[in-house]
Amino acid sequence: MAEVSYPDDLLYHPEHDWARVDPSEPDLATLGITWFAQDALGEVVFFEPPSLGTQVVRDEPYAEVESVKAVSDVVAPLSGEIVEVNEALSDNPGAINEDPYGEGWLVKVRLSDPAERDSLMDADAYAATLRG
Amino acid sequence: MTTYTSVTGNDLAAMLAAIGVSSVQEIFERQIPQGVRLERPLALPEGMGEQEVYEHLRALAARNVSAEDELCFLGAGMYDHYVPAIVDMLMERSEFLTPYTPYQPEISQGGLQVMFEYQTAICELTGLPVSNASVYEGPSAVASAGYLAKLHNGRSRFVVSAGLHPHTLATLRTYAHGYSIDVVEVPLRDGVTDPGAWAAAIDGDTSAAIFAQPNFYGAVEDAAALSAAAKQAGGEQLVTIAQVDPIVLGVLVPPGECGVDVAVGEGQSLGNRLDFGGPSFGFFAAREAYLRRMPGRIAGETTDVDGRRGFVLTLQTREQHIRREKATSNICTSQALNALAGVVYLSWLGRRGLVELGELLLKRTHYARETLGALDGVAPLHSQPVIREFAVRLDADVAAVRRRCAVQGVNPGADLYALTERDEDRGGLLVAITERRSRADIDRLAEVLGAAVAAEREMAVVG
Amino acid sequence: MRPPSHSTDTPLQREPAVTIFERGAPGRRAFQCPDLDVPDVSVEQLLPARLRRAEPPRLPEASEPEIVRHYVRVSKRNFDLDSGFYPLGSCTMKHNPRLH
Repeated sequence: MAEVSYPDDLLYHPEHDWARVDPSEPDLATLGITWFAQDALGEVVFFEPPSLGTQVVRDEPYAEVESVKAVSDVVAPLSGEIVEVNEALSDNPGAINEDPYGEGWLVKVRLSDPAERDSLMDADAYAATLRG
Repeated sequence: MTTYTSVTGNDLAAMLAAIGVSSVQEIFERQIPQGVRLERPLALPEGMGEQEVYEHLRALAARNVSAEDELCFLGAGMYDHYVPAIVDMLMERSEFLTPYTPYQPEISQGGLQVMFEYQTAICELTGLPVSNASVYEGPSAVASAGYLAKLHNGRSRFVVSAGLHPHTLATLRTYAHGYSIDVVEVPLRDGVTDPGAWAAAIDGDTSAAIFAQPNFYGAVEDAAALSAAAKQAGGEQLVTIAQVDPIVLGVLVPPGECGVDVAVGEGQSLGNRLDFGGPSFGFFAAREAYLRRMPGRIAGETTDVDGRRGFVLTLQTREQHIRREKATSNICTSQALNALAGVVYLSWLGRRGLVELGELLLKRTHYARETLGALDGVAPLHSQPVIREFAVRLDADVAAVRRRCAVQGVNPGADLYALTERDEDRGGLLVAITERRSRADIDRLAEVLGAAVAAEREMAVVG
Repeated sequence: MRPPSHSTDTPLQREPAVTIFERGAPGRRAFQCPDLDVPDVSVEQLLPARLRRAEPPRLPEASEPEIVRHYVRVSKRNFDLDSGFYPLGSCTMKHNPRLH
């Protein structure tokens, strides 16, 4: 399993989801779940991504991650339309545990309101919520 | 003081002392507020000892006529098959009869292995790759299959054949109302689902297309044609569901080879007696794509920490103790014992036995329909292939005919109209054949039924 | 939680698991079908080919004693409430005498 980490270049949602936005393409975000979330879930056994074109809404669930002992909603940190999904997870759902910020990415979203990014936390602020 | 647990005065004193109260009454007084506390004993009769209970129930049972007391051609969903002695021998073993649900695999390997064997047998019967460890009975299995379809494609209608058992239709309508699905019924034509009406009723908003095999009127449906037509009209997302009588699956093409997505049914015919209507079990099998939407428990094969073969409950994340309101079902109590009877029975029949039994039923049912159809005032309702049950129309009042037959110790079958309430079923009688109904029994039925119909017709002329 | 008064280390519990499908031998059987006492109209005449099953289902082929011994041995890998107390469920937390 991965070491505890909350990379500095990501934005974080209180429901333990992250977003990565590349400055060169500011209206495209990659989404996933944080180290804390995968650790709480335990061994992930199944992830079925939503269909391309699905509209996701900030703060609302858009998919489920299933582990050996639980099924958890994944909450969208930002709103937009799903333009790509991580197909490799159907054969290797454990990537969500092993590399939650890399190979374990879930979906990519074309943002409908990039300004929503300002409502998310940085790594330090998110890590502070976990300590409290 | 109850003798069931046999608590003595000393036992009671010790327990009260251990928890620090002076009397049982004090427990209630300390836990239940005065305003809601019942201040009198429950208004129940005195309890009875075991012997008295036995005598009392025996007297009640003596007022019933069982399939052992009369020549029984009654079916319509549950059937008087022969249950071999080994079924009871094994079901009564305390290791099968008394355990809890196998959430602790280390003390439940016996039960889990039985579930796994049962699932395997159901997959073999139905020709579908996955099965659960059983559900309660047939009609709710169909309703659960409908729910699976709704979860899968989110559409808003079920199209169902009028050939479904009326109890299945009613159960389906009840469930469908609960999860906001419309149920549209397609009529039969010449005893089977009307192919034109079936295709016309199905569209891109149809979640599931559901039919019975054989249907309620005993006719063998063309399952492959119905499934293909449903997919054609509703698209690949539509789920085809068949309620199947398992006893005929040695002879009929299995649903998995007919393009059916989900096969469910009533398991009573497999090693379970009539037992005043239950308990029995329902089976549920499906294509692998629907595995995560299936209801009920599923047993899986695995290895333990020492590398030894073992069995566990698997995919529990579908179930209500984890998924809560998003669960695929709320199966809690276990029909595992009835499913055990089912797999023991299927093992007893064996590969050849199920085929031979099915062929015997096919031939005897044909003989019965021919024989009854030759009687005056009795005509088959349709001429479709039948395999274990068939319907005739009587030129006489069905209830009156059945009463005359009962006097002769014969139950000639079910009053169709009483069950379906369809006008076209007036005068209908549904006759069931099992391996317990010999040629001599069928000939006796013909004799008694013929006489009863003749007597009623004569009265109608005279009266 | 290990329930008391029940051994989980008997030889029957340690032997490898074998399913009913792996017992018996091709051709063995328990069921004896009642004789055909009605006119023998062939299956082909009564059911069109497209409705008939081509291959019998792969159910077990075992004798009756083999079936009984199999399920009795399997049963002994279960904890049962006639042997000891089990503090879960409610239907199972009671005595279950049976009468036939």
